[in-house]
Amino acid sequence: MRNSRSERAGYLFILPWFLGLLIFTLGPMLFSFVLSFSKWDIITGIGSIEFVGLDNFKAIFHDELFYQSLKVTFIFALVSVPLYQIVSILIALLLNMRTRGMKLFRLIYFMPSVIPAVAVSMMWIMIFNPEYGILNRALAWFGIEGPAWLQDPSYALGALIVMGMWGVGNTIIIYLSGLQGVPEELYEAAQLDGAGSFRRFMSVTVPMISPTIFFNLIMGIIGGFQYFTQAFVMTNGGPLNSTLFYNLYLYNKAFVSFEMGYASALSWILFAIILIFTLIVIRSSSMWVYYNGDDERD
Amino acid sequence: MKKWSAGLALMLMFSMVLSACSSGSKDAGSSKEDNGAAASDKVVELKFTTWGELSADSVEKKLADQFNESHPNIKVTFEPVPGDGYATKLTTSLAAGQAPDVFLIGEGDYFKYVDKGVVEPLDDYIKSDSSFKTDIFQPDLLNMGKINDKLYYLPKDFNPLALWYNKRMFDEAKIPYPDEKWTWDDMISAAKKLTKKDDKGKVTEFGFNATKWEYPIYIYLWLNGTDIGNEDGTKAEGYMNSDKTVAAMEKYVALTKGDDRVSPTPQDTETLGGDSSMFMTDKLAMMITGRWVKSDLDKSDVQYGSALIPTGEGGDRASIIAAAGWAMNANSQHKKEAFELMKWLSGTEAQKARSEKGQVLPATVAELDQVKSTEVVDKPVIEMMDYAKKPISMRSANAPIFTEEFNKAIEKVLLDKSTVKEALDEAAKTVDSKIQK
Repeated sequence: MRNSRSERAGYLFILPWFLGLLIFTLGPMLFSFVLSFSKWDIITGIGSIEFVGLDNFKAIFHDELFYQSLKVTFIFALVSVPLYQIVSILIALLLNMRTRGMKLFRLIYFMPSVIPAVAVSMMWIMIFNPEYGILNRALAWFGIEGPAWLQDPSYALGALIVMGMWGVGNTIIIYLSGLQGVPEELYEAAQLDGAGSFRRFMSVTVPMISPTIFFNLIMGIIGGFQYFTQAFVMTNGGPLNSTLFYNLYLYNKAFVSFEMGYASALSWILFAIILIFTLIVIRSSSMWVYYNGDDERD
Repeated sequence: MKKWSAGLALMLMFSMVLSACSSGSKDAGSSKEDNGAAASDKVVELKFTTWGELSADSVEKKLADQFNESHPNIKVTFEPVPGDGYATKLTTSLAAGQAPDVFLIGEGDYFKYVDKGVVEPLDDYIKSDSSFKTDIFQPDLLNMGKINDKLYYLPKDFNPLALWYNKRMFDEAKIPYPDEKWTWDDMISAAKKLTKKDDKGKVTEFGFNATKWEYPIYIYLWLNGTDIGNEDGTKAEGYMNSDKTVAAMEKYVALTKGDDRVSPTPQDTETLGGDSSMFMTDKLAMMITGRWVKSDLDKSDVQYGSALIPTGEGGDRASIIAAAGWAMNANSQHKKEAFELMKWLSGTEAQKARSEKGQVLPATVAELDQVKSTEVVDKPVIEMMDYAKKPISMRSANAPIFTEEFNKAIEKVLLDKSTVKEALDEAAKTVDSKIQK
């Protein structure tokens, strides 16, 4: 009796969340799935939805901009995901040292990720300004004439990747907690065996934090493929579509040219892409992710 | 076992979604009926919206209050949308059937909304209302609101494009101010004299802004006897890439390139904070833009004047009127009352109230004459409206295709990725293939 009552209470507690999921996530997802097989300009209301079968998907595979946005997004993900992970681990290692004022440093490195992306973007527009920006002024001290970062098609994407490093605070914090979970005695044992600091990092730290790397990698991949805000605010896909991220293209189709069916089809393709990459990482994880206390089960 | 329960849970969820949907729409339907039934004996509620105008003491808000006082059976709420979100908000609310009864549309989006059938034609309402005559409005503005001889909006205000010049920079270079005899070439040779470089050869002050904004480009093309598309916006081949267009655009792009350039590139303009802020800081001597720039200019201490946009070689003159008007939601529940509101919002009282604030030019003849008699700076601006033509966005629902491809072509040229001819040939081809779909 008691058991079923507490069970019911449990379901009641998750009900608000569950309703939220149903109404604001699963419902719209189902709707967009249906829409992806239709043509709809939304202005004229739900009545004007016209089913076109696979036409949207057929058109997408002949769409130049679709391939351009895929290219931009893949380059961004392939460069930024590993780069941000390495940078985050390195900074987390530094922040894991025992020195005075460490709390302050941790605060400093975490702070940027608290600032809203739009505000950050506005700030970086100023930093990247070729005439007055602090970046090109600093380069000028060394006699380098900096490029027009965001207005030059060969630099804009790189500029956004560099900028992203500024906001890895969340990832750093997760790595930091991972690092703090590594037992001290393992390092001592390795040291007694004569392992240098690099060896200790590779053979003790990396395996011990591999579950954290695994988690951050998956989040990073999802985030990388869904990159939107900064490109929307700073370049709006330009110059010459060199920063036309997949999500930005999707947004433009949906809310600028109001081709909802087409945009829905695009979003389900993105869903499939992210799913595939996440599955690859998950499948490969048994080869490199080490869970403490897992040995007996294997 | 587990898989079964998961599947069951999923089915349950979907059925709940579906039932939620259907019950939701039922609710919406019944509440609408309630409104309809209540309309006859109770207060009718109306909503109207504009972009901007967010301050509490905005003119539109005051106009709404006054309307409510004089119409006890109608209650109007003013719901403005800030910034760039207007089109998105309006479109999604139209889709959801929640759109305001009366909304403002600009000349650029006007054709699109009418084409989708979400705007109510007004002719019947005007015919059956003897107290209201449309001849109080500028005829040009009324014509702009007509598609296939039906009127779809009542004018709110308008901004003809004109040439704005920086007096201090002209004085410094000892050049006479632009006058009505100027041709485009006169303007460019003046711009050459106004452009200044530093020791390293870097331009510090520009004579003219050859912007990437379409409107001034359209005007320039008209002066050269060409356009980016045919009259009804169904063909780009032979227009966007005609010899005349290519030759004109080559000259236009050259203004921003090379050692003797007189204009910033769009990229320069962006990094220097935009054309009006360059103008205010004496870094730009001339630009073609709308009158809305005035409210910014007046905040700075720049000394400026306005002039007619110069003529083309054949002596032709052209301009575009950027205008906004009140449109009625075709799905409004209370169209009769909505028309009352539109009459008020575009009528004489409202035009007076807005023009007293000095922000906009009144759309009515009498009030505009009043402004003409007192205004000095605005005189050429008002005169420019006699030369207004309809840009492609006011002639065809295909306009976004034209502008997108045209802009892309010009961007390519400016970044040295293509010649004008190649880029425009390709653009024309793309436009025509997209239209055929």
